[in-house]
Amino acid sequence: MNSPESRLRIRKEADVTVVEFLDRHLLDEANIAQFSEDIGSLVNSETSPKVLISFANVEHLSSAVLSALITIHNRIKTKDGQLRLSDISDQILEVFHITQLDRMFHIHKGADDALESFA
Amino acid sequence: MASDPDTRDQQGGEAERSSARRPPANDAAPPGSICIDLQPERQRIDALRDEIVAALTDAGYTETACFAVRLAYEEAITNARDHGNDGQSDLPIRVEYHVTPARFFLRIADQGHGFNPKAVSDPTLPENLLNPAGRGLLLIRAYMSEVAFNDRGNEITCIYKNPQQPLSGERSA
Repeated sequence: MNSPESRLRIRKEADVTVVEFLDRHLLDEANIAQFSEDIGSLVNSETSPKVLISFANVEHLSSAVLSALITIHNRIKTKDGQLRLSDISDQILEVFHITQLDRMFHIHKGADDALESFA
Repeated sequence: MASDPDTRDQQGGEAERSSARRPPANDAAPPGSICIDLQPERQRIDALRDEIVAALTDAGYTETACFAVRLAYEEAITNARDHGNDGQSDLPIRVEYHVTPARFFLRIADQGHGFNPKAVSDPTLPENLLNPAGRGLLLIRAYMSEVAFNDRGNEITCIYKNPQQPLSGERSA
């Protein structure tokens, strides 16, 4: 399911698409654009997509990642889908809190919690 | 990592040894600052970031502090490259930095006409929350102790005060 250039690990859990990052640092603008495009493609390929994005491996990110997540969120909303985020470190959670994006995203401590939360 | 075509200089000769004075963010760069004209390519941006983080680690900064500086550096460089330099994203960006155990100084300047930081809308307002852009400056301000812009608006200066170290008796790293 991954393209050769993809820096994502993508798998299915029932009807939920689970996305994990292979990189610890999400800073490279080319990689960010690529993962945004990869996730955008899988959202476009489904009706009412259910997507879980896990940050289990991620130690650093930039605001460009937040921009990509908002774009993905908006796209999923227009398709009447659902997006969950999980496994976010305390340091990165603080970034979501400062930007108040923790109010917009459904953030779960672990992937299991997140998977159970899908309607 | 003084690799071509970046150029660098150490300003002021003797490194700052001690100072009771705490220069605000819009003062001249501290003596002994490293000054680099950085080609804004990802590899060079990463290498300079790693160099700065290594200097911070050597000076006793915690991982939390390094996370804050790494984020501010990344956001300021991205703003200079993508929004400064008037669309010429290959123009060099001037980076000055200085590390003491008590304080980290970072100044980043592009060659563009500048912008008015007061005109940037607050991305945390409900009407802006779904707008993907405009969070870099918010994060810099949140993580740095002091942030200032020059009058032209093409140069940002950030100071991070190490909470583990009092400023009195400051010594160079």
